[in-house]
Amino acid sequence: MVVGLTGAAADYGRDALRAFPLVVDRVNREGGIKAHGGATVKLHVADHQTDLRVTSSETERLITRNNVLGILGWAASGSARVGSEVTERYQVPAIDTSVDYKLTERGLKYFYRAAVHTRQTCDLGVQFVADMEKATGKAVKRVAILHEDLAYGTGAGDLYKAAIERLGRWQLVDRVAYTAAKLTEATGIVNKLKAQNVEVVFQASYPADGILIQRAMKQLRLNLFANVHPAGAPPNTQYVANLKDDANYVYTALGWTASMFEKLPPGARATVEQYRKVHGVDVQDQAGYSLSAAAAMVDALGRARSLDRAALWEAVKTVDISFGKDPSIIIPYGVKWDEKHDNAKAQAIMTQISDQKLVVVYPKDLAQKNPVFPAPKWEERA
Amino acid sequence: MLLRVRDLQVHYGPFQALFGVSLEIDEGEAVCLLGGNGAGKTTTLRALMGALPISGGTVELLGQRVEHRASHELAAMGMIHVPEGRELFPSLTVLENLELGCVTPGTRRRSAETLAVVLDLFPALRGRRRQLAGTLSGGEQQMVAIGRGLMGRPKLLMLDEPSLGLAPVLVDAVFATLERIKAEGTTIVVVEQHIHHALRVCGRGYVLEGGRIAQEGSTADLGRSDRLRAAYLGM
Amino acid sequence: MELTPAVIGQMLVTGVLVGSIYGAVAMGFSLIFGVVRIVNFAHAGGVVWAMYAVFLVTSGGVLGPYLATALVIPVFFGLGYLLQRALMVRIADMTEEMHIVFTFGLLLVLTYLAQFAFGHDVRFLASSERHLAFGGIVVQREILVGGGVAALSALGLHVALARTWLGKAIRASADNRRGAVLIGLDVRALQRVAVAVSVASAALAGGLLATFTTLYPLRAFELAILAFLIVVLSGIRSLLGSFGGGVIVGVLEGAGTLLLSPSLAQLGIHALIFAALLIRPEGLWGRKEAV
Ligand SMILES: Nc1ncnc2c1ncn2[C@@H]1O[C@H](COP(=O)(O)OP(=O)(O)OP(=O)(O)O)[C@@H](O)[C@H]1O
Ligand SMILES: [Mg+2]
Repeated sequence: MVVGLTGAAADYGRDALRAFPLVVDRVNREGGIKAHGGATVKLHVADHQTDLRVTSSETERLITRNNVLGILGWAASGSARVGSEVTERYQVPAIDTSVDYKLTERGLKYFYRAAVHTRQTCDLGVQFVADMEKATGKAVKRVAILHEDLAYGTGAGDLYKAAIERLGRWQLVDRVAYTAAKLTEATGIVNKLKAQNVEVVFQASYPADGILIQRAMKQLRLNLFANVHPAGAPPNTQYVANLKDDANYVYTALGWTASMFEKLPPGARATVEQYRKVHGVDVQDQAGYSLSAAAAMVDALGRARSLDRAALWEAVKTVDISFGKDPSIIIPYGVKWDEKHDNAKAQAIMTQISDQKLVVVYPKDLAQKNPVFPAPKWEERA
Repeated sequence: MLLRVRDLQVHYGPFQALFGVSLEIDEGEAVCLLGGNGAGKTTTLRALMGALPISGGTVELLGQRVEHRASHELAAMGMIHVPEGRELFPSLTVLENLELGCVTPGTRRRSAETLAVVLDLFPALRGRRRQLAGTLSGGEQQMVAIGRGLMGRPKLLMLDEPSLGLAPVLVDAVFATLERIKAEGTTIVVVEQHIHHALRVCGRGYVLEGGRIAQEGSTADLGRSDRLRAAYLGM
Repeated sequence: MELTPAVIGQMLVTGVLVGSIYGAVAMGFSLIFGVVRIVNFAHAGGVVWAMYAVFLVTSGGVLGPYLATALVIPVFFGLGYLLQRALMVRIADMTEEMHIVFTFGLLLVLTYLAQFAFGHDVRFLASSERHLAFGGIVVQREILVGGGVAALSALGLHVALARTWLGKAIRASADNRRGAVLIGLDVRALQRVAVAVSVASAALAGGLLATFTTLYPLRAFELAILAFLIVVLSGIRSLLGSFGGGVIVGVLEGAGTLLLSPSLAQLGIHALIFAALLIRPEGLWGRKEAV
């Protein structure tokens, strides 16, 4: 595995480092890979330091020095982009947990992604609002996209725009990009949205700017039917910690949230409990994706005809594991690759903040509450 | 003895500018420091003022050893310098420049009173109090420089070429002023190229040459000196 | 877009108020440059540390952010005094490039120390939730107070520099340092006071910013660039000019956000300042030097 244990993506890397061994240890404890005479799985750990050059060299080192069969990584989109070029060159199958939708648009042969990615979270946002419109009879006319202007936000903005245009029902009145690091206060942005009478905002922000914008929405009484994020700021603990009740009714589409626990199948629930017990922290989405990735890799090892990279690759191609069957899979609904090598079985869920908690409102079988749509006006909130 | 300087030595890096200059100045005296270009006159005054590091020798002011004191401490003791080239604060007004001459709290308390005296001395400045010093004519600037020195109520006023760049009429005026200041009991050390003026106002003088005192004596004697003529007139 | 008076008014009022606080950040920066001739990028590091200080004192729960700021200001004054005494005098005689290397290095150190001490997490003071609303314009109390206090302090500092003997002496030593030494001003002491005032003003600006914006260590870099640009824009020496430059930047940012896009506005400010400098190298309010 190559993840960032230091640097900007260290939070994700540490989650991955907690999750991968959980799966590997379980397999080894249960007698190793049976098809290969109970061979134990060995996990080599490398730190890419969230640095692209280090990512290349560390990935290469694992392949050439440690002779690894496959790579689990990189838990950071930039590093995944660079690292996957190395695994491609050496023809080493790699299963990644990064979320940037562009990673699988390069036609790589050995690169697979287990995570719920940004195209899924953005598409779900648009589709969800369209569904709610139908379900409640509240017609949406004017929508806007608001995003920070680095890779994450710009990518999300593009995806939202494409999805809105595909739907073709709403007027996209503005697409507002801002530089998160330079934002001191956000009433300027919100004033702009308000002047255009928008009803739904699709927003991609980091925590700091997300908080500023949400505060400004309250201050200027920008009343929206819905404010929808693709993961981004709202799942971050700081978001609710700072905004308290003002974070309520915000939607965010994501791959995993702790409140899903109640609705998990028993095996997956045990995995989450074990994770919490061993590591003393809650499962985050990166940990969930990492569990999926590791489970897929272990599954492929079990089915590989021999223990070499080519055979492993053949087996990785045909991975098909399911939520409810494999206890390591806590992200619905399993792992199976589509033609782009994205995880076709990974399903984004829609959550809404309710009483300062992320609550699943979609899909139905995982939902804990019904969505509140449109959100109550600021003036009417307690 | 107001000021006693013994064997003063000053270096600019490796270059030695003063090779043991000794001066003695009594209270109420007016003394001139003469010498050709590069003789070390400015260096002497700046070193005395604590604005240059001294590499040897002693300075006694009012009976206290002061050779390692900073300029603001010396100014507080009453040693005030009217520097070569005026060194005004060009983006401050005339009035502000004058006020800044009051470097001690004591002089600041009496600044209104002193200011009136200075403006009497230089009536040309009266109407220009709010003008930026950088926009004054050369002569007016020199008046401000001297006036700023007087605002500090000096016991010892050291002027470095106060007549530099002035028209002859103004040179006369400056020396007339110096005579008045002297008459009020202020001790004066003046570096001057206009030797005739200097000799008229001052009772004694020193002649510097290559960083050494080449000659000293009453102005009457110096006036007859061949050496001085050589220094100034190149004869 | 409906550019109603309320929408435009909202933009202008917020722009002026936030710009005032930018101006307060820039003011201290320009003071140090004027008096000590050092381009002090670390100034913004001071602002961010003041934000953290105010944040920490406030989260103790006893003092509100304004009292906390009032507490932090004298501490920073003392720190500024020590900074000048211990560090800045040592670099004073070095070249301008070295000054930049040094103060930028100090900014890095301050930023990384903040990261080390407080982590990457975003901090945010609880808002009073009070707003002033008039004619469809809503202004958060913290921004109103912040902008007002920043403007008053800029004015106060200007008056102090213009009217008091100490202020005049500080200006004099900035204007002609050698002359100041020669006439017996204690230039080093004056510089210490000036740097102390500058660092105290960083504390004030930081305290005001902390009341309404998010706080994280890397904000120091953004503020450093902002202050530098404002000061360059307004002709590096003038204090009120720096303040005015801050207000202009605030309004431009607001107008650009409303009419174009926030990203463009944020970038555009930088572009605009460089353009302005091409046309008026002496800065917006600067006089052409009389030769
Ligand atoms: N900052 C300096 N660095 C190096 N040498 C210097 C410096 N200042 C003065 N000198 C040298 O020291 C010597 C004495 O200079 P000083 O200015 O004292 O002369 P001066 O008698 O005042 O001459 P002038 O009549 O031209 O003003 C000169 O040779 C000069 O070149
Ligand atoms: Mg000279």
